[in-house]
Amino acid sequence: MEPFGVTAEPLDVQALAAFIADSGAGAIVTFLGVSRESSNDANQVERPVETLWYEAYGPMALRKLREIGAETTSRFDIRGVACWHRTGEVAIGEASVAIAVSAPHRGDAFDACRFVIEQIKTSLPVWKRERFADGEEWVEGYGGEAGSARA
Amino acid sequence: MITIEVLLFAAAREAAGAGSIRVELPDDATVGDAFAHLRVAHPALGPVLGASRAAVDEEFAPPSRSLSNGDTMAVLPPVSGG
Repeated sequence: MEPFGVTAEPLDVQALAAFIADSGAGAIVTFLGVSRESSNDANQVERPVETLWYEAYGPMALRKLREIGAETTSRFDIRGVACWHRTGEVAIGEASVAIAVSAPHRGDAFDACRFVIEQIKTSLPVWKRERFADGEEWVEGYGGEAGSARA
Repeated sequence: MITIEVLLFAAAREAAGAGSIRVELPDDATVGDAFAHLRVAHPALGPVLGASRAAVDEEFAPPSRSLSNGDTMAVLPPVSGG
């Protein structure tokens, strides 16, 4: 399998963990980002979400995932990292993103996994749309440092 | 003049009513010039353009980045993956 990817199919975190398993690793940390059943509106009022839907700039998202993987490998003492993001409709309770990291020690594995998801949140060209009983909307996202890369 | 392909995603795609647009610009045009052109040609894009980043050839690109004939520029609203 490929360590990084964007797919409309359900994610298999066990397959990712198996892919990055390494005889020199003392820890494997996995992370699943999962669709939540409620969301806060602009007034911080919670409302039920029926389904989530993700759109991606596929080729750039794959390129960014590989870049994030390379950056993670250079920053942390790890043996392997893999990450896939899902697109299309994602039912409540299903995973939208799956990450697996192997490292000699647990601290690096946890830190590296956290780094990967934070990088995804700020730089992966993927957009989440929430569908409610009475409509749907794009989720307010991350636009980068003020003015840094905006046109 | 140069011709570039503009890819639009999420809220930008919906505002423009299209996932891609061909745009003609002067030879020395930048990403910032392309955004200014889009604001005029597609007024509905205005609000989302103000919050969006650009990518050229699948890399984030600042407003000063110059464009060449045949480039693909993407309009990326604030991302919300994960």
